[in-house]
Amino acid sequence: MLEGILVDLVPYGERFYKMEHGWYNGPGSFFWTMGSQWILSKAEVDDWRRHRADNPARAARRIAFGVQTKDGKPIGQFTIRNLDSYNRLADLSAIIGDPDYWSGGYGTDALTLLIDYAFDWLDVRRVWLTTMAANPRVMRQMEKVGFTLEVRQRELTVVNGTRSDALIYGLLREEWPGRDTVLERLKG
Amino acid sequence: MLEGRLVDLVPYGDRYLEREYDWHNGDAWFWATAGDREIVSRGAVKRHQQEHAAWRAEHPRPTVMFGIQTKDGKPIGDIALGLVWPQHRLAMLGAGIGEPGYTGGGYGTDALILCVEYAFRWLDFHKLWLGTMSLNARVLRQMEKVGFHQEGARREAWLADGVYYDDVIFAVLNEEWPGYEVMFERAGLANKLKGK
Repeated sequence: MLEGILVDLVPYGERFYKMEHGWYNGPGSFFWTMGSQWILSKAEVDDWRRHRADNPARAARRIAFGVQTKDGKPIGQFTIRNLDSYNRLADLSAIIGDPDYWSGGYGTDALTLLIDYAFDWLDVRRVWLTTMAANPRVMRQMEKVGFTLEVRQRELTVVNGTRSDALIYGLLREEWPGRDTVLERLKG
Repeated sequence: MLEGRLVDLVPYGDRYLEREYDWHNGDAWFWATAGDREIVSRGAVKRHQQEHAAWRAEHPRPTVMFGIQTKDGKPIGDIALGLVWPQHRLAMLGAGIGEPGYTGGGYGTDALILCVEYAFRWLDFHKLWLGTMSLNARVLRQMEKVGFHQEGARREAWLADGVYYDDVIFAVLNEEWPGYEVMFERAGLANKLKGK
């Protein structure tokens, strides 16, 4: 378990799988997928889970954490989607599925835990992620935490009928002062 | 077949699979893979091809892959539209000229603009993009010639011969594409053709 202040990161097990149908059909998945409007049956969510499990190459590169509140309530999934051990990169993917836990610091607590884990335990040199320009909350979060906006992919996706840019953010190890320092800075 | 003036694009079939052993072990693959040095046996190449075919049969994807051949039919490389995202009409371009002696002659650029033309004019894609490592001066020049926009760079994303290089991202939108004929002239391929 990776212990935070507001949340803990735990193995992504059955308790979290049970939440997926709700999360994927809810408002969180709109941001998580860069603008898709998923309408998925429980059977489709199960199929997708099996499909992920039976790709061993993909599973080997993927490290999924469940995010839970300090009293153990599952609220999201934070994942290293693709651990590239040749180039020593970690590609992050994150969803707080329950909108009640947006903007309360839960996501930033989880994100900084995951970054510490990637640099200090997996020994990667770079963590990065993609979000869409229609997601100002994540853009603010990236700046706060110290990521650099590296690429603006023009008109990458269609979001609610209009084209949206996608933004690639990257963070290098030498730019990361550690979670404790970053959290201290955010308090002030 | 997509007919160009320096090359044609054809289905990526057995004639190409037979070349993979040499191509993957050759210098060209360093550029095609952004910095890998593959050292693979014939058995390993064959096994990988079989596993890949079996996996694809069960997990179909909308990838479009072409073999690149010279006008007299010699296979020299491949080009593909990968990571296809149909609902966003988006794809990533990937390419490699595996055959030594066919870089710098305009073959790769002719293949590229044929493939872009096909993606925009036939498949009605909205955007095509690619990434290349900042060490790859030849591709950086090529991107400038064919009018792709540099959208940024993922810093230090590729390890090649012990050094980390940026992944430079280039893209072109459908409405920016002037068409194969115009681009053939603009990219200087008419002169390359005359020289042959």
